[in-house]
Amino acid sequence: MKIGIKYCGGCNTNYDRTALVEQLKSKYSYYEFEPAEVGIEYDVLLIVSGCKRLCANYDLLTGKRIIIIDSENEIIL
Amino acid sequence: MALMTGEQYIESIKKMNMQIYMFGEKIESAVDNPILRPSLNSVKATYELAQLAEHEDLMTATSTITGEKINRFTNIHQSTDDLVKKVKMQRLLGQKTASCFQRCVGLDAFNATYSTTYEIDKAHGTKYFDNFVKYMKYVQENDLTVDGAMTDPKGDRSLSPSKQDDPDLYLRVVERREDGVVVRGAKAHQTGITNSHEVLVMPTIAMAPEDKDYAVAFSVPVDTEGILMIVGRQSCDTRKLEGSTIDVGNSEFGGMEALVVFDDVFVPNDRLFLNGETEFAGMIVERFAGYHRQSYGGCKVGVGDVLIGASALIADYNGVSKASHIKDKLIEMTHLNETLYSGGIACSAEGYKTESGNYMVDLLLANVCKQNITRFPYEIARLAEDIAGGLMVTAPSEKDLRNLKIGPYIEKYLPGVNGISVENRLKVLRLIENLTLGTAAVGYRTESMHGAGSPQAQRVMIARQGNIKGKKELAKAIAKVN
Repeated sequence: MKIGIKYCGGCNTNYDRTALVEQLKSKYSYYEFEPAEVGIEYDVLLIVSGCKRLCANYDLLTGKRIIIIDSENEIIL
Repeated sequence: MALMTGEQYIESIKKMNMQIYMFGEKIESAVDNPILRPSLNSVKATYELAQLAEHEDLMTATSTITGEKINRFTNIHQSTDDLVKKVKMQRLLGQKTASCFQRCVGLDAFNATYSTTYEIDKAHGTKYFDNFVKYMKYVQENDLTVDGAMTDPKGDRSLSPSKQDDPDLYLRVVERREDGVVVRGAKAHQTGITNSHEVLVMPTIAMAPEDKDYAVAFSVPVDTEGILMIVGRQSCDTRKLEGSTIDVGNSEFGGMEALVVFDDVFVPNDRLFLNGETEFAGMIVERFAGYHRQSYGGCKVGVGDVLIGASALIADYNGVSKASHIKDKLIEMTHLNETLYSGGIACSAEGYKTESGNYMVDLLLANVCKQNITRFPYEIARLAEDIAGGLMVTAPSEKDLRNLKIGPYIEKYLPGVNGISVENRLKVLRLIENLTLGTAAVGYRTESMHGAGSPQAQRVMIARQGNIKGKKELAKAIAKVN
């Protein structure tokens, strides 16, 4: 499964977004994680937002499934 | 090269032949100078964060001029969302550097000049907008850092530029040639000039027809012949020469300012963005000031985040974090800091489209934001000093801590709670000192007071934008005044 990661800009995050993504990568090491790019349809597009504002711009990104994380309690795949 | 890496940026500055003076001596390399290097690192951070997936959403934008991905510090705002993201980017950089990262003045100058040149051309049939769009393309394609230069030395503040005893106290055109103009004068308080590739000069006040030679805006490389930079002193600046990482408080990042002299500098025609159209001097000043007052609602907030964090840390280290008055002081600091942020976000969200197509902040809210900035960082700093305790200014030096004879006494008598080293306690105290009265206080305190205009300048704008007449009508309607 190919997972595209799109972060918000991280201006005032409520948790350590990159640490959480590293946890996910470690937990699901059999999946392929990469920074999301325009033009690729991912199995999962993972939007990692530092707060509930969810200001990450992912209009041009595509995924069969879109998962939004906005707190460190939401490790679900 | 739409996006430079941090290292490419450093290399690009190394290649410049700037005329920099400090402590009465010419500085051969700004890149290697221990007093200037932290300020270069802060600008470098604006390049490095743009390379990171976890920050690119704020740090980059898509250029409407080139269609390429660019650093947001070279962006022409295309929406209120762009304005909001600018403030968020500035908060992020304040958090990451705990200092002035210097690149905002250029960004604010770009957007003010972009919309103003469009309107000058419309009124006068000039080609300044074309000149400026070509210039922005060059800036964006090469990911340049540009110093926005506005403040003239001003001399006798009661006199207009052309009435000063020394006509050079405001930067002016001294010669008009077929291929351009020659300018003379100076710009004071130039933040980040030694870390910039270019300087974008604007007039400093609204001007009357007799001030025609002073109504000039242009850009040139900072190593153009005739440009000379005299670096300003900062409180505790020479601590950076001592080799201590603790005593400086922030060993990696900082800011810098300089008096920049333009001693008969040639400006080619295609780099002129205003040249004698005096009625537009006020517009470019007002727009630049508006954007820059918005900026402070981001950058100072990010630095405030670090100061609040340091205050909470030292409370932990001192064993007082459970005291109700300490908790209340941290709440107050947070309240003040987020109020500043609210102003930055509000004036961005309420922005509007200019005739040129770029977006301008709401001027009333931007001025309210900056007016708060002239006050709240001082109160946040006062509370930080209150929480830190007197050791912040009486602690021994790192050399004493490392000294084999007296170091053990410092270890014995200056611990806080168990499990926290004396060294870490001193590091946090020095960070608070740095932000409240050391080198970073230039940016966090006095720049908050006078940067982007002194408090009275905002009050003039608030009076102009406040619509007291409309408010009177509201009161009359409610009171049923005939």
